[in-house]
Amino acid sequence: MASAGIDDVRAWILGRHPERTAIAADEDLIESRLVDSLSFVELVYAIESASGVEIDFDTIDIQDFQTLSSIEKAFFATTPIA
Amino acid sequence: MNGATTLESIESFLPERSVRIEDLAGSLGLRRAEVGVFRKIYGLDRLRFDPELGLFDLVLPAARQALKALPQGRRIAYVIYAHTMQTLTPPHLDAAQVIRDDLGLPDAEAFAFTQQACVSSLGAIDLAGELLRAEAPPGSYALMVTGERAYSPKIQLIPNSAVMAEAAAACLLTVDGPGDRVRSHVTRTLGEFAAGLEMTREQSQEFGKVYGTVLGEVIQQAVQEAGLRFEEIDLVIPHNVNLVSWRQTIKEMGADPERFFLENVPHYSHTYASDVFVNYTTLRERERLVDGHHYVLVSVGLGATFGAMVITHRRPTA
Repeated sequence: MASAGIDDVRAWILGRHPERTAIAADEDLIESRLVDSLSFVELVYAIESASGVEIDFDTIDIQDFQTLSSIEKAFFATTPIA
Repeated sequence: MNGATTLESIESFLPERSVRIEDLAGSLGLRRAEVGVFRKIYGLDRLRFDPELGLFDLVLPAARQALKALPQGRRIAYVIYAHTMQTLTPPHLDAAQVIRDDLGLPDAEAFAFTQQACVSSLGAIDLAGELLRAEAPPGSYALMVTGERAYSPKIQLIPNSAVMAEAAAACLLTVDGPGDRVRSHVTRTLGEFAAGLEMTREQSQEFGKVYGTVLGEVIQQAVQEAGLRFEEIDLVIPHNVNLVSWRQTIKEMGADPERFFLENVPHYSHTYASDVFVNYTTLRERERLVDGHHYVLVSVGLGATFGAMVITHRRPTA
């Protein structure tokens, strides 16, 4: 079961891509251009808003943003399931 | 006159002052998340930037070093200053002519080449070769120089793409000399992105969409026009814009990432038209350029021009 936080991130991405109705947990967000260079920073803010925690850039890597699954693991792993 | 353009000496120069991109956050107006994205997603970290260094102090050291390879009695017919920003000096100064005069080459024709922005240096080499073949006395040489200052935050930050840095380079070239042989040069200009730094969000998004595909096609075309297959290329020597756009391009090409020299991106960032030559000299110093092997020099200029040049490295005999 996905945490509420990652649902918010998924909804944020889908909100920018009306042509899509779903995103698989392991779909590469960067290669599929669901997240492009103009939206990386906004994705960071969307993740921070959903998790309530500022991202510590010293401890993360590009792989942490690659898929919804990796975002959930990196930023929502300790979030209690709603 | 026929014959191949040959690169007889390539030199580069980096200001000593090295800063981290977070040190520039204040002057560039970067928010914490933007610095984080540049560092961890785009792969940028340090860059050379010295506001105290004058333009000509930046440009001339590499040019002087490259000129040392000019054989005795040979003449420089052209000094071409390739740069990205069209205006680098006050209007009463013609930078190319100042460089020519400071180098003690009063007989050379000196002019700038800028319309291809950060890939102007490859275009300038191609043009110099054409001029040498077309009208210069046999045995003449040309000197292509690069180097420009990140003199304003407006030209140092390319939003969502790059943080520009300072470096300079020079390439001494002739026709049918013993140096690296230029086998092909391909450019493609997409005029719909002519606004460059002033592109709208929609234009930037569209540019981002086509970037990897077009750059991959230009590289492959240059390789093909050189009479080679990509598998025969030892290394792509690219510009240092960021790691994300290169990952995208490599993926589009279905190429082996090991074939792309990206190790300087976190050290030097994107230095306008100088990157490929800075990277070339790094590789030469590490003895990673092999005699007889083929390399692709690649860059992209905002505006937007994609350019690639295939060379065959020839190690000078002692």
